[in-house]
Amino acid sequence: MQSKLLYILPVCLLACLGSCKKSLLDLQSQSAYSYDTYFNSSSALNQATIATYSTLLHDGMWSREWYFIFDLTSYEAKKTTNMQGDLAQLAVYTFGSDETELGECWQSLYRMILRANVVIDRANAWNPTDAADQANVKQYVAEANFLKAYAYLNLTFCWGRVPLITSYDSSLANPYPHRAPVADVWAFVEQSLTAAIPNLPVAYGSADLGRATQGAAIALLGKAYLYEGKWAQAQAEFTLLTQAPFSYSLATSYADLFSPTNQVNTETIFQIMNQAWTQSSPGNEYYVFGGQETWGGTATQSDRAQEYGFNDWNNTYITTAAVKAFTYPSPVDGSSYTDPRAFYTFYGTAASGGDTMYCRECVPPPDSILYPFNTTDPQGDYKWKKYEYYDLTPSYGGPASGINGQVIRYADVLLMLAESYIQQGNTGSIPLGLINQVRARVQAVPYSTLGSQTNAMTILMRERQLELCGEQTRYFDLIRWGIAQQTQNAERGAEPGDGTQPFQAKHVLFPIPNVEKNYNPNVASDISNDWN
Amino acid sequence: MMRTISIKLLLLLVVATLFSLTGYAQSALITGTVLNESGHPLSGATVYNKSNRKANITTIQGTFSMPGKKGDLLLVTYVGYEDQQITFNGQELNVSMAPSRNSLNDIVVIGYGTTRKRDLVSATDVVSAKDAGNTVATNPSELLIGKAAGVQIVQANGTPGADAQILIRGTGSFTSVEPLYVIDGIQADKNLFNALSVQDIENITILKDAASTAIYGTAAANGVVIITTKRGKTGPPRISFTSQWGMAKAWKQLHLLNAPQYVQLLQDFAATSNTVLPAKFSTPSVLVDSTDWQKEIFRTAVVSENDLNISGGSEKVAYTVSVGYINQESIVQAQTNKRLNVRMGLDETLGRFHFGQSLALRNTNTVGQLSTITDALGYAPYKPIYDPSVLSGYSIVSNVADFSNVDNPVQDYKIQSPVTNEFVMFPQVFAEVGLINGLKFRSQFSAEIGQGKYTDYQYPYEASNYLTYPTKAYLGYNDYSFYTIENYLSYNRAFGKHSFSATLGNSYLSPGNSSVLQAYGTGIANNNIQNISVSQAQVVNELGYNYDRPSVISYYGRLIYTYNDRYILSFSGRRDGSSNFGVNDQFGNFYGVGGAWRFTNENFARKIFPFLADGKLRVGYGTTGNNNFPNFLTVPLTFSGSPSGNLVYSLGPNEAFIPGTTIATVANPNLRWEQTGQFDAGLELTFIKNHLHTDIDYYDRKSKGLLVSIPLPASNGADLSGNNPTEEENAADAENKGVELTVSYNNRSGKNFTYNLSGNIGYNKNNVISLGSQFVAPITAGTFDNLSTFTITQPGSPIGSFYGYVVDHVAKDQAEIDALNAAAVKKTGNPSAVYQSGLLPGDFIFKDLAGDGTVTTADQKVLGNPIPKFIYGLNTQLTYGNFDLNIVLSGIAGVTLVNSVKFFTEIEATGHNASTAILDRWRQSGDVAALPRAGQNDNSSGNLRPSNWWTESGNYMRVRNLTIGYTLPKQVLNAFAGNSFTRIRIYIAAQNLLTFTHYSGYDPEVSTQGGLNTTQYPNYIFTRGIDDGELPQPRTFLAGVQLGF
Repeated sequence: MQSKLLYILPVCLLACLGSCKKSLLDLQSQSAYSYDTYFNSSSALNQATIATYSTLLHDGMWSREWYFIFDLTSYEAKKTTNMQGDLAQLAVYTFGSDETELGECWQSLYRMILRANVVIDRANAWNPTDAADQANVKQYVAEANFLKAYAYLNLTFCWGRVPLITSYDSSLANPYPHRAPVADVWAFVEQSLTAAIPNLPVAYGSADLGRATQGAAIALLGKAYLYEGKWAQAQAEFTLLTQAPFSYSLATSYADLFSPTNQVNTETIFQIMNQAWTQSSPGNEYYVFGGQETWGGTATQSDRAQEYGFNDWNNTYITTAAVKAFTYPSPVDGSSYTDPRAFYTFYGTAASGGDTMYCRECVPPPDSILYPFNTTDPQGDYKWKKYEYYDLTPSYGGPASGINGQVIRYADVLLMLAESYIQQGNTGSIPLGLINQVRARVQAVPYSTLGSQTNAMTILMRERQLELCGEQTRYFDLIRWGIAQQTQNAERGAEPGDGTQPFQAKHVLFPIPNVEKNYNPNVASDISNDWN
Repeated sequence: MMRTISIKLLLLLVVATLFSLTGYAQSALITGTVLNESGHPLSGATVYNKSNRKANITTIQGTFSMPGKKGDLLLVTYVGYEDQQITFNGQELNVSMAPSRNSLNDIVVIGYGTTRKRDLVSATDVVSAKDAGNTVATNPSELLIGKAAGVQIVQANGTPGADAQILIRGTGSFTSVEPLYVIDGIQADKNLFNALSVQDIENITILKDAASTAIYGTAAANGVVIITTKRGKTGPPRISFTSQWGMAKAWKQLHLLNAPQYVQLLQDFAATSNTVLPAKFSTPSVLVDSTDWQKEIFRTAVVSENDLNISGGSEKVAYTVSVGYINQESIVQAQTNKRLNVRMGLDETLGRFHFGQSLALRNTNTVGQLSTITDALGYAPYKPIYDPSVLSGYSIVSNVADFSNVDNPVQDYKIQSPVTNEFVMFPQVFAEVGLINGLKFRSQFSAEIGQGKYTDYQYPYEASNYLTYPTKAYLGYNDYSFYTIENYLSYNRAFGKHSFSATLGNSYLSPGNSSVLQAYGTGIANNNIQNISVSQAQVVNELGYNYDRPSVISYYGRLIYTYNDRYILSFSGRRDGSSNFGVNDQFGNFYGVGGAWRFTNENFARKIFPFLADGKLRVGYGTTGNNNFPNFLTVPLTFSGSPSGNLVYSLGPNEAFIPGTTIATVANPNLRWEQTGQFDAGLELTFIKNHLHTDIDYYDRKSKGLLVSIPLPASNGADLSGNNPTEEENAADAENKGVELTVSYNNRSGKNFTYNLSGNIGYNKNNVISLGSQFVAPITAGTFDNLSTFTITQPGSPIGSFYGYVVDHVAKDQAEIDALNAAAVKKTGNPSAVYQSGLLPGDFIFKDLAGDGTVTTADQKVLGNPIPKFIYGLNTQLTYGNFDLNIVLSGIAGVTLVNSVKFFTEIEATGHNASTAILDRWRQSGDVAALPRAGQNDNSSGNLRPSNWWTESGNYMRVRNLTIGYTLPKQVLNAFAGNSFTRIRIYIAAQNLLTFTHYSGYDPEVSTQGGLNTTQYPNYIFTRGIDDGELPQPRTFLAGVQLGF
């Protein structure tokens, strides 16, 4: 009996595990929810929408690289010795498909698309009965469509034919998409924005400031039409923004648009929300170097002031070509005229029109400090002032800027509206009025006439260059006007410390980045000359 | 569910204990005592009655009692002793055992059981702690260095208490190279292995081939390391105490530029960059050397270790208690590592029952910040250490004022003082019951419970380039725990010439639980109180709670059959289910087959090989798996930042943080087991008189369906900022083939001189066979200093091979470049062709390997790899009278390293100091120089692209350990201390005394980028062998004393 028991017990013990195997191996994550069941409330779907916005601050985007990419490739900025590595390649136009920042930009735009698709996919899977929920879902889907359009507009403009992934399911079904025709991508941008516009509010409550509004979607659609050369449609969209229900107006102070006071502004149509970093902020000052959403903590500041700042990392100059553009024949008498916007755009000499003092409001207040223009600098010593805040502090001590990034502002819209008239041959009082409206804000002398269409375009181009200098629009303008090669090679040829003419025909598009082509056979086999 | 199992286990123990008190009576009894060479009882010896095939194990008093009759032939065996045959003469027996001179009768621990070494069918190494010179090792893995053929010990770096990686027979996985660790028969892990005190280890067995490892199935693809700890032995309390003290130091320093040379370098740099140096460079102050920064961070570190062990026991209970304390300073400022190990073990014998309990504890305390070596290499030599005008008081440099932004190396370690405290506890209990006729049942339970605490206080400071940092105080906790339950039946029985050994069991590995929470506080008023409790704002910067590991359920069995002591066959099988696989592929089956033929037991063989005492031929094949990767890769999960809550965007006029949630991974519901099939053939020869023993093995290890993190195109978008999306796939196949040879010789000359020499060498060839049928690009990794990837993993070359261009020489002048370009035009027929784009005088000219006239990406090749072709070790143990000498040499050959520190020492792409090698740089047209000009973009399109300029041979041979000891003679001992001591031995030792290498960096013993990476995907696979300035292995001199009471 005893020995029988001795046998039975071990057998029982051995058998026991067999009986409970299923439950023991069936584990549920304790740190993340299931994708399939989580997004079934307004709040969860709002989180998915916020996650889509958050990509605006990712690598390659507006917390850091976006400035570098488009300021350097448009030659509004040039490198100092401090700029090294990949950024320096952008600066001297020797970049290729391995260019880190371009790869990051591509990655982040597609991440924005995936996250927008997640919002739409989950919204479709949820059928709320509550009216408020239904309204929320409509708005979130519209926001997702806006961001998706924003991503595709930039992708197709910079790279031409790009993979077009229209839904979450399609990215699961085919991890190796082909490049889509450019026309298809533009059509998708138009379609997404057209779908978004009616479901976006004209304005949000204060707490939601920063979300895409109906005006933002209309402005983006107008921009898409303008970029496609659909002048009449562009004109129609932009005109909407000058009328009720919209109440956009130019800010009284130009400087306010690029200072820590630019948080709420009647001129802003869509902006990047940057919270200033302080020493008791929850996030990491350096989150912009890849720590977004991970080791960087919760942080949304921009490092632009630190990177460009002459008393900080001092990575860029403003090119003398850009500086010189601010001095042009006066619209009144043809004499040499220095545009007032020079003062708000860069530090330099009095003769250049740039600001010569900083630290006007520093605490503790010193006397204003003279900007130390180095006359022996072989590169010309002009440095950026736009988006810097040296009037408040002599140096930043880290990347902490809370100045919001202007993605689309009303002055830009007015100039694009003027352009859509001029491109259709109308150089009359309407476009003239729009241009002078923008100039009047900074007390620049007005034009009395735009003259011929060619002359009007010359005026408009300069107006855009000066008004939007350092706002990452010039690259897009030069490319779409078809003058990037001639303009940049001429500027670089005359620039002290440069003298090269690197812009080749292929540079009108960025190279398809390695992060795509190395891992996507269908794209890899569809690239010519190792470029695009 | 597990609670019920635990309860059942308890019930069993209680019930079984009750039964043991009864037992059954015998009619005729053989009784006796087994004694060792010095007359002490031997417990645990096996007494086997050949006549009636009954066996018994001696008690703690060395006694046995078993049925039998006069004239029965008894065989007495014990690990490390010669077998004894004795005939029962009806009297109580006194058996004296003599220590074995050959190890064939040694009992070797294998998976779920033991076997005699002579009966092994597989490639197995046993390293006993005594042979390994355990007295000076501070880390268990050090015991294995140079000891086992084909086993490489890669020490993470020279940081005190640093981890080490054991690599058995090459690299056979893309996700983990971790062998399975088994401590006293229970599955454990590397953490526990490293937590053991070296003094507590009896021996370590390494199972290398799949015939023996298959019984561990899923966990065994990288081999099995079985650790046997010391257990209590019967007798009066025995106390031993060891104390050793020593000093450790880096064995090499680099030669850096002095201030005038440094300024000249910066001037060259500025000239190339079309700029001028800041104003201070026109003053003489920069030409004066102020500080030797290497001297400021390197130091002579004090190390000490004290160990105390008490053991003893009575008839039914044996105990052992040991306490060890190691205090070790780092060889650079300013870290101290203190480790306290405690181990307690109890063994109870109660009739047919045997119970054991042990508890191992370790507490590790690490204080202080480690210096950054590359800062000491690069910081301006004209700078003093201190500068009172800077916040925190340490000097800084800046691009604006100094043309450099390297951080002050002293400031690095002075401004903060992290304290890490880790506590780990490892309880083990088992109960074993002898059922009947050789059948035993064993049930065992173990758990690992660990916790850590982290504090840090950072003074407010201004770093180079005027970056300011606030006062911060950190506080963090983490803990984890899991347990393992195993039950198995084992059966050992001999019938005439047939003997069987069978095992059948199951096990359950709980997924356990782990959690972490860390916060920091800011807004600290002053430095008087240096912790988070006075901070005015707090942020949680680490947060996690989840299962600690996959849960695994296993069923396994093994049968070993021996015929006539000649033919041995072994079959094993295992079925494993693991929670980290998709529902469809949760279970995997593994098997192993092995056979051995002891041909010297054949009559014909004895005639042909009269010089052989023993000869054995072994062949085996088996499959094993790998599930060493995280749970939940098979299901899509939400992502809210890491830690959760870090995914935010700002809204509102004050830019409030609004939380977001999305998806950031691509799930693969079809994940399966990695499968490794290994063939092994071996020949073991023992020559007459057992002086010479050789062991040779050939293996072929093919790993299939290796899990690969396949990069998906960026357009997929399911990833984190700055990353590409990836998907886990069972895609790749890889192979390791090799030969291992071990030769040992031991002998005695005269009365006083004994010697034991052994050498081993392993040759391994690693090769990636395939990356799968799906579109898989070569896996690239190993970036440093923002340069491009340096390693490639692709079919046809070893895993993690270095890949890049080949440098020809530095371009002398423009004429040379013009000539190359002209040739390129001619060869390509393209009038605008250039030989190498961007090439200027003073740049590296790379070789046009493809021969198409220009340097393109096609001119790259495999430049070597960090998996050594040869691993070898030489061991010498001599005793002469009371003196003993132990020398361990170890080395690797056929290995390539990437010396990424050259970015700081031999290249000037940013402003920093360099080594004197950079004096041989190109400076002006016509210079024939070894190194390119100062001033160049630090990216991968120019001179700094991956090339053989970065790679160096990593071959080295090291005198790892040299110990000379002297044991006081008995008479001196008695005269000196009466009878209080049984033993006094004094010794001196040196670790890493000599290193023979051509490597130009601090130390050729390079592990992997970032030292040891303990995340789920260890970079031992794809970024191994890149020297990024980790702490070198120190040279240590020690003196110590061992006392026995």
